[in-house]
Amino acid sequence: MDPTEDLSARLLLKNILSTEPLRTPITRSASKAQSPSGKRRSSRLSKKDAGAQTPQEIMRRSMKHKLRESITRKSLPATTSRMTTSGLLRKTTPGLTSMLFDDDDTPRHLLRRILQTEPVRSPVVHNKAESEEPGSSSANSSISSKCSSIELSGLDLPDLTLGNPGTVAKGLSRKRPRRSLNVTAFEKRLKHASDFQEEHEESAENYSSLSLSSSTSLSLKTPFVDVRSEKRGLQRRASNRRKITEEEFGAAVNKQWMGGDHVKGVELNHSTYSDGFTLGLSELCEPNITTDIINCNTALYTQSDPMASTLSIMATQDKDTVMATQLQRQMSEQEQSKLGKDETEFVFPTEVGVMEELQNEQCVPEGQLKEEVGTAGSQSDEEEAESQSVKGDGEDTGADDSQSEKEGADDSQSEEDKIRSQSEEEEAEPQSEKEGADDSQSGEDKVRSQSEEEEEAETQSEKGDEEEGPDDFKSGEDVEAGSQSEEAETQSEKGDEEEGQDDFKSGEDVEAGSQSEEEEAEPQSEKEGADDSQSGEDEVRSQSEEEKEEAETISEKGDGEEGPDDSQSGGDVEAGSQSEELGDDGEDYQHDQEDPDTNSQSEDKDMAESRDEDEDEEGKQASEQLEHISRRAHHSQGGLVVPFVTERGRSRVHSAGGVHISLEAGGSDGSPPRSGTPDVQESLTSGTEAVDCVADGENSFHLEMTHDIEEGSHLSDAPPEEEAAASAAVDPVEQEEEWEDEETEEFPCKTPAFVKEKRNFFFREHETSPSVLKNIQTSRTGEAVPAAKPKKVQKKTRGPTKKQACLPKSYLMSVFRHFAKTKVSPDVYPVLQETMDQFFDRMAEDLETYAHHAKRKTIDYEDVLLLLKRIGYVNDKVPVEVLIEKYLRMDQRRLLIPIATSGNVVVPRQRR
Amino acid sequence: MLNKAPKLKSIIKTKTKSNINVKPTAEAMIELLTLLFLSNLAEEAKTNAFEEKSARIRAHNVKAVSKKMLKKARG
Repeated sequence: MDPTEDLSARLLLKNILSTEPLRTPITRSASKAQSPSGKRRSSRLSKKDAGAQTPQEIMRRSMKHKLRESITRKSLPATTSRMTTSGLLRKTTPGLTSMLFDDDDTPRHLLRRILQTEPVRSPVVHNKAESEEPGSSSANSSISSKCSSIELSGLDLPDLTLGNPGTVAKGLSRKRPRRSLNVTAFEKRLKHASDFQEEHEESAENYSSLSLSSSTSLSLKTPFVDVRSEKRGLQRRASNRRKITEEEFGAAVNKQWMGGDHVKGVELNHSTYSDGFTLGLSELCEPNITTDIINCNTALYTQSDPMASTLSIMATQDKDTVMATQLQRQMSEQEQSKLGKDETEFVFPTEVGVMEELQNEQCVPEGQLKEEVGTAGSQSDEEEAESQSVKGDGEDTGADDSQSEKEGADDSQSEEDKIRSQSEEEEAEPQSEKEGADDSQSGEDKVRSQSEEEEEAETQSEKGDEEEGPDDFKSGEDVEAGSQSEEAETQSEKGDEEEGQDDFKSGEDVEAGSQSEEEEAEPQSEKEGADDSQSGEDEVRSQSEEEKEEAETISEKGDGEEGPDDSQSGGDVEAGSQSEELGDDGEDYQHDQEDPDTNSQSEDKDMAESRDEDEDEEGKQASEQLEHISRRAHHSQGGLVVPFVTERGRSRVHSAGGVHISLEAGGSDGSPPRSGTPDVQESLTSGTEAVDCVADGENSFHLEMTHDIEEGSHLSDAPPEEEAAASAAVDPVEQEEEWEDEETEEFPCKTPAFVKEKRNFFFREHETSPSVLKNIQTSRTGEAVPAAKPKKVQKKTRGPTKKQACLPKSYLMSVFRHFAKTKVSPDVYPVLQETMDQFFDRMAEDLETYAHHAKRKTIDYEDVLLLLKRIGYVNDKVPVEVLIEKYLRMDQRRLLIPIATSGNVVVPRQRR
Repeated sequence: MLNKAPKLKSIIKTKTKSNINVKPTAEAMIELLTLLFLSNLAEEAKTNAFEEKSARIRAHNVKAVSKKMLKKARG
C-alpha cells in the first residue's frame, strides 16, 4: 500500500487493521529470525497486542517496538533488514520518519506511524521474503529478487538488504552467492570450490539462522571479507557441524571429482554428502565382498556390487564372484547332473585349473551322490575332458584329474572313481579310439546312448572305448552320457577307460598315464601291441574290477583293443584278445568302425569270456563290464541291478555283462551278442565263441547306435542269445523281439531266460519301474532257469506288475451314453478307457500337487475346487454349487452343500 | 450319475505317487470332475460324429476328440 501519502483516516485505519494481524506474525518471525531479544519483544508485543485495546496504545507499542527492532536490526545482519526492506517495498521510506512521529497523538499521526511502521513490521515481509528465498532454488533469481527488495528497503542498511537476498536466496546453497550479489562474486566462490571449508561454511551458514545470513548481508559490500569474518563467527557456531560436514564433504568431494564435479555449491553439498555416504558404504562392502568371494558366498557379493559399483573393486570382485559362482555352480551341478553339464561347460572354458577344483569338488559330492553326482561330475569331467581333448590341452588336465581320480577312486569311493574314471576314460577313449577310427562313432555312440537310454549309453561308451575309435570327442560324450544316465560309476569307469585309451592314442599320453594305469595300457595296447596295454589294462582292470572300476578295465580293454584282454586273461584264453578287446569295446563304445566289429565285439565278449575262462583278468574285465552293464542297467532301472550284479560276483559277471550288453544295446543288435557273451564266456574257452559273442555284443552296442544291426546279426552267432538277453533287458519293446529271435536261434548261450527277462524288464520299464525291477531280478534269478520263452516271461511279468485301475465298463458306458444322448457304439470303450486313464492320471497328479502345496497329506474339497477353477468349469458365472446340484446325487450334495435343518442345525457341520 | 462311480477313490490313490488320502468330500468332488469331463467328452464326440453325418458315436470319433479334451482338462 502506498498510502503513506494517503492519510485519510479510512485508509490509515484500514492499514492498521490490515497490518495489525500481521504484527504478530511479524513479530514472531522477526523474533525468530533475529536475536532472541526480538523474540521476547515480539512476545511482549504479541501480548501487548493482545492486551492492547486502544489503537493508540497499539500503535505506540508497535512504534516503540519497531524502533527497537530497527536498532537491533541495524546492528544485526540482514534478515531483518531484508524484511524491513521488503516491507519498505510496500511503503516508501518514511519508516524512519514514522518513528519520529511517536509523539504525535493525533489519530492521523498514529495511523501514519502505523502505516509507516508497517514496513518495520516487515517481518511479515521478511518472512515472506525469507520463505521465498529458501524456496527459490536458483540463487541468481533469488538474488536478483532480493536485490530489488534490498534496494527498496530504505530502512536499513542497504548493505544488509543486499546481502540478505543473496544469502537468503541461497539459503540452502552456499552463502557466497547470497552475499555476493554479483554473479562474479558467486562465481568466484564457485572457483573456490576447492575450498571446502568455504562451502562448509556456507552450508553451515546456510543452515544457521537467518541472522547469520543477515550478518553476511552486511558484508555484502565486502562480501568476501565479511563473509569470511562472518563465517568465522559462524564457524565457531558451526564448527561442530563443519567437522562433520568436512569429513563428509571431503569424501563427497572426492566422490564428486570421481563422479564428476558439481560446480554449484548446492549440488556439491548435496552430492558430497551423498557420496560420502556411499563411499563409506562401499568401503564397508569391499571387504565383505572379498570374504564372500573367498567363502563362495556370492549372495553378499551380488548385493554389494551395486554399492561398490563406482569403485574399481567391482572389477576385481567380478572375477572372484565368477569364480565363486563357478564353484558354486559346480557344487550344485554335481547334485544336479544335468545342470552340472551346462555349468561345467561354462566353467570349463573359464579356467582349466578351476576344472580340477571342480572335479575335485565334483568328486567329493559325487561320492556322496552316486547317481546324480557321479553323472554330473563325470559329465562335467567328461565334458571338460572332451573339450580339453579337443583342444588338446584339456585332456592333460583332465588326465591329471583323471589320474588322480582313478587313483583316488580306487582308494576312495568307487563311485567317485568311476565318475572320474569315466571322464578320464572318456578322454582316453577318444584317444584310443583313434585306432579303431571309431572315435567319431564311439563318440556318437556314446551320445546316442545317452539319448536312447542310459543303459545304452553305457554300452556304447564301453564299446566306443573298446573300439577306440578316434572319437575322442564323441567317446567322451558318450561316456558322459552313459555316466549321466546311470550311476556315473559304472559308466564312467568303463567310458573312462575306453576314452582314456583313445585319448592316449590321440597323442595325449599324459592323460592316459595320469588317468589310470588302465587307460594308459589301453591305448598302448590298442595300437601297438595290445599286450602292453593289455597288461597294463589288465592290471588296471583288476584294480577297477576289484575296486569296482569295471568301467576302467572295460575301457581299457576297449582301448587296448586287442592286446589288453589277452594279457589280462593271462593266457589269451580269449584267444581273441581282440575278442576281449572287442568285448570291452563293445561294452564301452559301440564303434562299429574298424575295430568295433571285431575288436569291440571280441573285446566285449572276450572281456566277458576272459573273465569266465581265465577268471582272473577276463573275469575281472567281464565282471567289470558286466558290472558296468549291470550298473547301467541299474541306473536305468533304478539301481537295483547293480547290487544284483555285484552279488552275483564273477559268475554272474557274464550274465551281467550280457545284461549290460543287452541293456546298453538298448535294443540294438549288439545286445544279443552281449547277452550271449556272458554265457559265452562261461562256455567258451577259446576266443572263437567269445569273438562271436563279442562281436555280437559289440554289435548290440552298435546297434544301439542303430547302425550295426547287420553286424550284430552276423556276429551274433553265439552271442546273439546273450545279446538278445542283454538287449532284451536293455531295449524296450522294439528290439527285444528281434533279439529274442536271434537269441533263441543262434545261441547256445545259457542266458536266454535271463536275457529275456531283461528284455521284459525293459519292456515293462515304461510301464512301471517296480515292475521293471521285478523283471530284472526275476530275470537274474531266472538265469539258472533256461529260458522260458521270453514271451511267457513277459506275460507273466505283465500280469502282476500291471496295475489295472479303471472304471468299470458298465458305469463308464452308461454315463457316456447318458451324456451323449445319441447312439454310442460299444467299440468306443477301449478308447474311452484310455482317455479316462490319462485323465485320472493328470487329475491325481494335480490334486496331489495341490494338497502337497497346502502341506497336507489328504486331498481335500478345496483342492478339487481349485482344480475345477483352474480347468475352467467353475468361474464367475458358474459357481461350484450349480455344478454340484446339476451333476451329483443327493447324498453327495448333502456332503458338500450345507443344509439348514430345524433347530438351527446345519448339515454338514461347518468347521468355519 | 444315478449310479455311484465305483472305486474312484482307489483309482486316485493308485495313480498318485505319494501316499495320500482322499477325503469323502473331495471324493464327491472328484466324481463331479469326472462327470464333467465325460459330459464334455461325449458332447464333443457327438459333434464330431455328427460332422461325419453319423448318428452313432464311434471309436474314432472319440479318439479324435479325446486328445483335445485332455489338453483342456488339465490344471
